[in-house]
Amino acid sequence: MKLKYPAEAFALGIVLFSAGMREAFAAGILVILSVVFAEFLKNILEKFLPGWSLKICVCIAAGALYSSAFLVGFAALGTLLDTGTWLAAFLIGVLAAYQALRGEIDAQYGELLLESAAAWGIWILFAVFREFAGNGTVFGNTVMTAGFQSKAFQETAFAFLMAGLTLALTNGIFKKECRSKLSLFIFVPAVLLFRPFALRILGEAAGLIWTILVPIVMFLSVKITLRFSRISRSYRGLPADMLAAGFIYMILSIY
Amino acid sequence: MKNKELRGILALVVVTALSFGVIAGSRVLSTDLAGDSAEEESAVIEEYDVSGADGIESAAQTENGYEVTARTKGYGGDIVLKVAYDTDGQTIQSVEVLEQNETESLGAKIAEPEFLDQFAGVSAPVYLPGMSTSASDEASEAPDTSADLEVLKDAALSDGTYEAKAAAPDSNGFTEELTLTVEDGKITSVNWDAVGEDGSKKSILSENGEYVMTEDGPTWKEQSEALAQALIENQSLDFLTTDESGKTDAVAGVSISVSSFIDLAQQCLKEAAGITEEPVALIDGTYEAKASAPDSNGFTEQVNMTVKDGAVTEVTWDAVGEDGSKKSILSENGEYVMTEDGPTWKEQSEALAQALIENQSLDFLTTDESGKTDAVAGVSISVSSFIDLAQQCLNQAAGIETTKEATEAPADEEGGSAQEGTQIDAVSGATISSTATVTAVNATYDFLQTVK
Repeated sequence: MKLKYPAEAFALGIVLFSAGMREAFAAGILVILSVVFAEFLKNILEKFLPGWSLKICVCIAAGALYSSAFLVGFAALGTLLDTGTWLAAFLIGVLAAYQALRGEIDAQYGELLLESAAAWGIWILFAVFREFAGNGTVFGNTVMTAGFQSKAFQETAFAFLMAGLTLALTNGIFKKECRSKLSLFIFVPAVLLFRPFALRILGEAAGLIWTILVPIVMFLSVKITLRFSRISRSYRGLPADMLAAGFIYMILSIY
Repeated sequence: MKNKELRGILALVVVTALSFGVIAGSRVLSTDLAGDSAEEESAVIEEYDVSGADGIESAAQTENGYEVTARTKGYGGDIVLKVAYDTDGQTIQSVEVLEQNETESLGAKIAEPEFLDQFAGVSAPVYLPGMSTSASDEASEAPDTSADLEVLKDAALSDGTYEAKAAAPDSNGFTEELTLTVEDGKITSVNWDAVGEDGSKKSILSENGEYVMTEDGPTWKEQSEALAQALIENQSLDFLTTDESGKTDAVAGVSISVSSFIDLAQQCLKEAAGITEEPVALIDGTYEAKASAPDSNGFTEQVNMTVKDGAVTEVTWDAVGEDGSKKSILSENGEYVMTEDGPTWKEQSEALAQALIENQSLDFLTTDESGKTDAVAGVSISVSSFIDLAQQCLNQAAGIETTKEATEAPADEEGGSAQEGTQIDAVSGATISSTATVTAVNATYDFLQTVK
């Protein structure tokens, strides 16, 4: 059966906005809003516009909606988004639009909302765990400080692992799989925003290029050459890619 | 077909334009929303020279008053604050934390509105409960030296080399020490230095550039040598007058606090003059001292002391809540818990009391700027109130009249204070960060008074 919820958008959203319950809450609901809006806009415009125009219009509109709503939402919380994060938010909107443009939703809003809600709920639960394990807080309020808590849970590597697990659990609930080819569109923005290591001996520009290229090359290498045996259906595709990205980050963060 | 293509282009233009409009509108809206709490940049009228001012990074007079930026050492690193004052130079408009590396969800809360909003509209200086309003910790501990200097006047000095060392390291981990040599009744050599926990000397670190106070001014070693030379030239400490922050104008080029230098030099000179302090005789009896107002948790502290045969034989330190409950009992029942693993409040209170009985005075109990001591093992609570109340009991036992200021707690019931300035509530569990912030704010206030 075809996947209805926008797995790629959720994956990128989880990687960027899962360090705390508050941002997970806001980012998740906006992903759902974007995909519903994109599907709605697509259904209205597809009779009137050629295919190329429809795709571009829906992508731009969904991207603008998501990034703008996110910007205003964060500002209301007293934080201004930096340009990089704003662009990544725009990309989340575009990925949500892409799911609508695939034609897999088919105006079945009920199923779309059900699957999206499940993914969102698991996202929030993992975000609560991450925030508590990292800071001892939930929704910004201190709950408990204990020895097992560590800032390592707030690292990007854990964000990728969380993304993979969230998608896998959601796919498992609805007995679907996610054979997305867009995992690079999730990994590359994350690498640009959160480089896993720094290199200064080659100079600033060369070091920057190197620290971006190495993780991407490693990710592509894993995607193309590594085959996971006996992987369950819910883990196949995007979830496995996200977990692999998490482990790549973990290895590179040692440097 | 052509129609559809045209419609496609038109729709694309419209959607793109609308999207740009939405993005632009959201940017304006977000700037307004986030900018409500941000300070407006005021036009600078005059920049002040901050070289030589410890901890002050910049200061300027603006259209709306004054803005001073200060740097202080917090728990996890430096804290940089920008304090905006009204035109009167006393009322704080706002305090903004520009930089901090404090512990997340503890000291980092000094950057949150809940803590910073307390400063808006209040008069400087500010203080935390139990803290003095001085910007410098040396100033709050600076002893009244006038009586001591009087004793040393015209005293004959015996030849020899005398050494004095600070009882405890300062907040940077340096223990100050002074060596004074007397030959033919005259001071011929003075050396003032500070030794770090790793054995490194401040004089060497300052020459190597590892201990830098200001970029342009004399190094710590140069200032130390200037002070030593001035003492040799004057053959007494009478010339060394200080202000409330322990700084002096008496020696050119010296901008560091000289309180500890004076203290250590006095000890050496007293030793050279053969002056020893007579212990004060204590009258047998039971004495009690109570804080005049409850602390921020509603507990009123009290110390009871028993003197028998001229010696302190029993000391108890407790605090009574508004409902009559005692902190010692609550701590044993687990209803008053400070840390999961450390000793209970009662255990720490008893350790302090025992230490006082063993030492028969409070001289051993040196504290840092947050009122905490390393002098008693296992005691991590603030001991300032214990010291105050125990000193009152000792004064009663010695027949010394206690002044009214010494008996008042920092805050009275009307919310005013015996201390000058305004009381601020610390971030719960983050005494060091809160104290550092308040100290920095007071440093900006002190600096402003010198330049206004």
